[in-house]
Amino acid sequence: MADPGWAVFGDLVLAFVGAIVPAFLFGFDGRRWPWVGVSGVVGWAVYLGGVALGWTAPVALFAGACAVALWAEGVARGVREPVPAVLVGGVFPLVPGLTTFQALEALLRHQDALASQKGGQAIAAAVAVALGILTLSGLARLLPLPGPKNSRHP
Amino acid sequence: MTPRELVPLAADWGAVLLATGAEIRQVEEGLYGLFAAHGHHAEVFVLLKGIFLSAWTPGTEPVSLIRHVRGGSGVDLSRLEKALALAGPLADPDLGDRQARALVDEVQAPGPRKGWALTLAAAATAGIYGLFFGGTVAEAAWATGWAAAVQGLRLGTARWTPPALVDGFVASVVLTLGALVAPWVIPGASPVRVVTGEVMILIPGVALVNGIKDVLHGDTVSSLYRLAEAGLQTAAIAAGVVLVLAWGWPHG
Repeated sequence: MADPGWAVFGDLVLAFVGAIVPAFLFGFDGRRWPWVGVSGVVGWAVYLGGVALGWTAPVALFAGACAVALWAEGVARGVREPVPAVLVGGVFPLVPGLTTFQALEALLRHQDALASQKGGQAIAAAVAVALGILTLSGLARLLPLPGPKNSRHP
Repeated sequence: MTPRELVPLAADWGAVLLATGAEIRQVEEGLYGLFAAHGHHAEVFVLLKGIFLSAWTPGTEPVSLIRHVRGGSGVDLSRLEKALALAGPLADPDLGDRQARALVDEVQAPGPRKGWALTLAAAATAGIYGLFFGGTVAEAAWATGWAAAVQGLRLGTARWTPPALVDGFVASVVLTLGALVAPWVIPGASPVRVVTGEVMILIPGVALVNGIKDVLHGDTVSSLYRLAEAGLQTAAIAAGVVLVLAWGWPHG
């Protein structure tokens, strides 16, 4: 059996690459890729930490999304420009694509109980991720932090 | 700039933001900020496929415009980033009409998207998420190769602009056929583990999350539209996968 420490390390490496690579499918031009990759690591590390502490998956995902949004706000201020890829890429490993797919697969196979269970999990996960982003993005707008170069950016 | 000059420009800028995947709130706040920076009053209402604008200075008639935003609600992060970055320059009261128009025109035209980069991205995404979801290296490698082939086919047929639902369904059918072949080539490979990595190149995860963000901001109509669109795409993908799995692998 693989060492759990190495398994976590492997997951974080996959989260790093897994944040950068799908962003290219959405037109990411490749600039500032390290920040996008770290965004994935930050979100997944916080999620794994939450699960290790015994939190439920939606709570851990909420915390992971908060961490990604915090990182994205920090990068936006650090490079003084909006960088949507940091947020989108970082959230990608947290988006419940697999669970949604499993729910629909179960639904089409008439496995109604499993479909309900997976569908509920997917919705809870998606809402948790969205709430995490909203919470941190909202707080960042309220706090008197130094703004990006284009301070009127939406 | 006067409201008559600014309103069409603002509509074009907002349309680029919408077409490249901005949230409704981002577009509305950007447009309100733009009019305020130029000293105009404004009313802005944005839906996923349309922008309704009125702007005026006190004591004058409002200038109103409706802009239908055509095309899919796809995401183009590079153009979105460039369009968002225009908020500062466009808000400069000293910027002339022609200069502002040139800035917006620059982001309106979609740049060429490199096919090889998209194919590589699809291949890598399938492989990475194949491993992320617990697949073996061999299964991930198979998913990588098959996803590259399917992405190449999608790019080759893009000129016919198939609807997103048809594109998702056909692509998922071909991806799943590839996953069904995997156990013949890789002993012990699971078609389900292979296909879950592969379909990540099709799942509209960004649209699903954006839809939820929109509803939490109170943009219910656009949010429901976005969620319905993303949900139908996901259903089409799942339908393709399930149909092929049921046909080729009854115990799957």
